[in-house]
Amino acid sequence: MSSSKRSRPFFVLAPAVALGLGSLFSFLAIGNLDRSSGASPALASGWTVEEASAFQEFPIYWVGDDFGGLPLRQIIRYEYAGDPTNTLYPTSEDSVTVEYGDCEIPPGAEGGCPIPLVIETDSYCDVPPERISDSVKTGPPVMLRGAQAQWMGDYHVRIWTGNVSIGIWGTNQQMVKDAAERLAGLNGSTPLRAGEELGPPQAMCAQRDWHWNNPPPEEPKTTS
Amino acid sequence: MRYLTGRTSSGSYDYDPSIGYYNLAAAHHEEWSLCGHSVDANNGSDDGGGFNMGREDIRDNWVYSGYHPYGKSQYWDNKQHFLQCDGGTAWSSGVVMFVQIPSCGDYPPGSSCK
Repeated sequence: MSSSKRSRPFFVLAPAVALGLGSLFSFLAIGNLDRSSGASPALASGWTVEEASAFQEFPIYWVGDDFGGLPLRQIIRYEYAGDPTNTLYPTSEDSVTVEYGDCEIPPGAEGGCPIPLVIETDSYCDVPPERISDSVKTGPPVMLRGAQAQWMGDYHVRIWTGNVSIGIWGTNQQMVKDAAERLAGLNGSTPLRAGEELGPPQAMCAQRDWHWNNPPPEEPKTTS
Repeated sequence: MRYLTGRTSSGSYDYDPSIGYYNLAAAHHEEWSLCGHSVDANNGSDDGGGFNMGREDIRDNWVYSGYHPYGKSQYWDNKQHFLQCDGGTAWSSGVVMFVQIPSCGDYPPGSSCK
């Protein structure tokens, strides 16, 4: 292959920008994790807490009705089979996501504003550790409450425990760390309590090719 | 031959060992609403939401129907939820697609390259 071909620039189409820079929060209060202690909050849309509690396909994790003053905003069950015309990469999703807080869209802003705290639980085999690109990992994998975890930047961590994969996005690193410590089970007969060990992943997944039809990588461009 | 490319906020260039230098674009599809323009929400959408629709539109028009060779895909887990002015929430599937931008000399004879 010629050097001119090696040096061609690539254009990356990232369907969402990374986390926006948010204001710093100080968490003085921890949300109520007791589902039996009060009325359900009024949610924007999606599932009620009761509906989420009855979900049986995989454990859902959350941090209660409120997190440091950020109220539970929405619980979203999302199943997307993917684009049937796509032959290049997988796009299917199978998740339950809990959103906390609201944000204000600046005038003229593109793409909206990031929800302050987002906790997404996926089935493990949809987002296993080997699917994460090395290019977005921040440091090596770490252990978090006995589970395998990977930071991707300061405001985003993914945790693998049992048969699920949990993504947390926040507006600062301390918020994400606090949320990870406060993760509790939302559904099931004996949901995990905040502070208890999450434990290691225990899932058997069929072998999947996450990078369809990839040609052999070209040699990196060298610069003088 | 010269190439024009963007720089990151730190002044460097985006680089991946398996790809080389690249430019990042946050393609997305929006719809007009009374509050302004908003990215199509994922929930309730049959098209995977506006962040995914933007990427798939480029895929359809540049790769499937155009002359831009597909490079590869990576999973970046960039699935942060973004609130839209119409109250909807949009997020990405976490997948990024790399598309090659050939020079005009590499286009098939008779094709338009400006």
